[in-house]
Amino acid sequence: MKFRARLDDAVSITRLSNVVATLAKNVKVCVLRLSAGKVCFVISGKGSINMWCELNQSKFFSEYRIEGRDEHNEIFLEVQMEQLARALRHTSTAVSVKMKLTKRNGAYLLIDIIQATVTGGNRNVVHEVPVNIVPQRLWADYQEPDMPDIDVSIFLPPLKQVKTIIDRMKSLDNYITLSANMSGELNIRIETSTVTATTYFKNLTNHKFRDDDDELDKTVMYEARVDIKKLSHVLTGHFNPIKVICNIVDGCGLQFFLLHQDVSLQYYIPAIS
Amino acid sequence: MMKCFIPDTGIHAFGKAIHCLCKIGEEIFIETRKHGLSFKTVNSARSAYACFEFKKSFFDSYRIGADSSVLNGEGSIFCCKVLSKCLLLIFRALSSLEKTVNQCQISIDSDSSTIAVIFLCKHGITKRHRINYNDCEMLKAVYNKENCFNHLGGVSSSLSEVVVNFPNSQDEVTLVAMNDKIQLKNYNEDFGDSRSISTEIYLLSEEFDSFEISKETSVTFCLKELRALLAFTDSLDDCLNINFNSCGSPVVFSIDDNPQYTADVVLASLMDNQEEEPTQQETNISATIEATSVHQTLNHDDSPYIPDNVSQIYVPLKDLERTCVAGTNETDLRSHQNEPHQLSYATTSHAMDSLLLDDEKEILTADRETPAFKPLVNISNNSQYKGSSNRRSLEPVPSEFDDDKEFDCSGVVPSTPPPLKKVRDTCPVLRVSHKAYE
Repeated sequence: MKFRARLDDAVSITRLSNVVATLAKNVKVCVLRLSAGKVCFVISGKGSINMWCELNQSKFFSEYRIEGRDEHNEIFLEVQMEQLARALRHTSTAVSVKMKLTKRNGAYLLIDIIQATVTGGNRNVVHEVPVNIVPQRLWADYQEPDMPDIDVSIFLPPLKQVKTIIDRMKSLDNYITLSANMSGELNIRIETSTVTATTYFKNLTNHKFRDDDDELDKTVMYEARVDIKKLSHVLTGHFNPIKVICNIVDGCGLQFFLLHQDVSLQYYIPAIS
Repeated sequence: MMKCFIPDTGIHAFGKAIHCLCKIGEEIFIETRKHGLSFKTVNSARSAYACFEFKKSFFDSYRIGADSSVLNGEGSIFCCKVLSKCLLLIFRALSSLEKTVNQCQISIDSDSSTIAVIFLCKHGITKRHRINYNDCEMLKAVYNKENCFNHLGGVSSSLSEVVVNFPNSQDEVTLVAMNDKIQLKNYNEDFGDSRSISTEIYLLSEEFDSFEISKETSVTFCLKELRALLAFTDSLDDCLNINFNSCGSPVVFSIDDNPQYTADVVLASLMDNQEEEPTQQETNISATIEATSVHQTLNHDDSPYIPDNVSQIYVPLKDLERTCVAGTNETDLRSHQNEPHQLSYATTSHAMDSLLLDDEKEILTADRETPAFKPLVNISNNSQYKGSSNRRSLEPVPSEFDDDKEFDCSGVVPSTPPPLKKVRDTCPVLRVSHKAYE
């Protein structure tokens, strides 16, 4: 099992550092799934949040070599995101970043950063981040989630706005209901015995996910009720995604796609009845 | 009795120095000398010592009252200490002080035991702070930065860039000096089991203004105090020098090149059990002598357990404070002024007694797990007894200041953690001797 990768330009180093830092805000432990074409950060929990963050390897790395155990050619590593983020935090002056899987009483992801110094020289900073290698029999838990049979798909308004509303509502109730239809309406609602508060969004864009759209009634609202803390958690710390798509599976769960330039993030939050 | 004026250009440096000292110790020792004003502190574990000395040229005017009863004759020093929290409060909002203050006046009044800090601000506003001080003995750490094997010059900018790579929770770092480069790595006690992130940073010799490594070695020291000093050097663009020998002996970070002030931060370095024991020489003189005097005093008791060398007793880091405090208990010393023979015994046994009798178990268990720092500083009030027979052989402690003969401070240093048995062996001795004394 071998893994070796190198980032050579400042832009992709910063981008990778940002991605990892963002994920580390939300996530403690995460599985890093390395395959020939992609680098994925995966969280899979039955009944709780699922996350799938995918990076196209060729857009980041100038050198990328992986040798898995067998023809799958994949490596699954369990990492503490905080540690990984810490190792990649001070990369603003980095000239190149090398990553390598090493073994020394346990597996480590060696991150060798070459920083430019004030004097014009180079300085080596080497971090060894402890990782656990996920055995092959558990790989099935970390597969890309299947696309659920969604009822409605809608682009969210700016994330900052939504986040503020959700955080305000957080003080009132523990659960939040998102409902939307295919004609650009989205409602964010909380209901308690004493108060019901709803925020209405109109004229949003729908994401066409089916060809036979025309036959359906576009005004039917589909909804899902989820834990407000989990939702707030998921929407934390993301900086300027290009688009945020919210998919609702009526009564079953919410799926979010956060699309950045080279990174796509996918969350699934199961609904609570 | 002391009055000085700091110009508006000096307030930044002065305030930053106070910030740095406050991060290290809980008390700040102020010493007025003929050629400048010193601010010193030592941390509670006595593993770190910092000294900022502002020279006369730093001030608009600097005057010490020669008529004062405390200051009689040239070269005499007046010492006092204040809580660092109090001093920090005055200089906390440094950026706003810099903008508004035209001049800062500091005066020490020995009649009322107060220090007055007066800010003469713009628009004729005057801010006056008054804090009480306590009298104290002079604080002095035993170190010698000139005689170190290894010297690194001009490191502050690269060092602060490097230090950010370590997490804030990182307590200690190891500096490995090699012939052509320096390696910094984080020090984890139970490395291997904890699976924590490990970081290594290489600094090539080109990064330093001067690079003299005459003995390859590695030293481990606390990062917290270094960070405090780097905060100072970063904001003032001062050049930082590092002097060190090998593990177990102190690492000295110093600012020497500024014409207006100098700063020394001395950090105890961790003993490495794997490496060979460093030679125990001059550092142990005073401890040895004290042990001998115990022997003399108690000879007629026929106590069979007298240790040959008190310095063999291993003191874990967290217990050092208590030891030192006990050892320098002023009332203890003064109440037995006419019994010089018993005095040093009392000092020694009292210190060890508090250590061994009260916390015997704690130490014995701590012994196995905690690595020890060598204590840097020991304050002792020996001056009154200089002529007494049992102190005749006491060598003057090497000192870079010529003018502190008034107080004789010596480092009592247990250098290597001895085997556990040793501590047990010495236990009954001290218990016996303490009773004999009573």
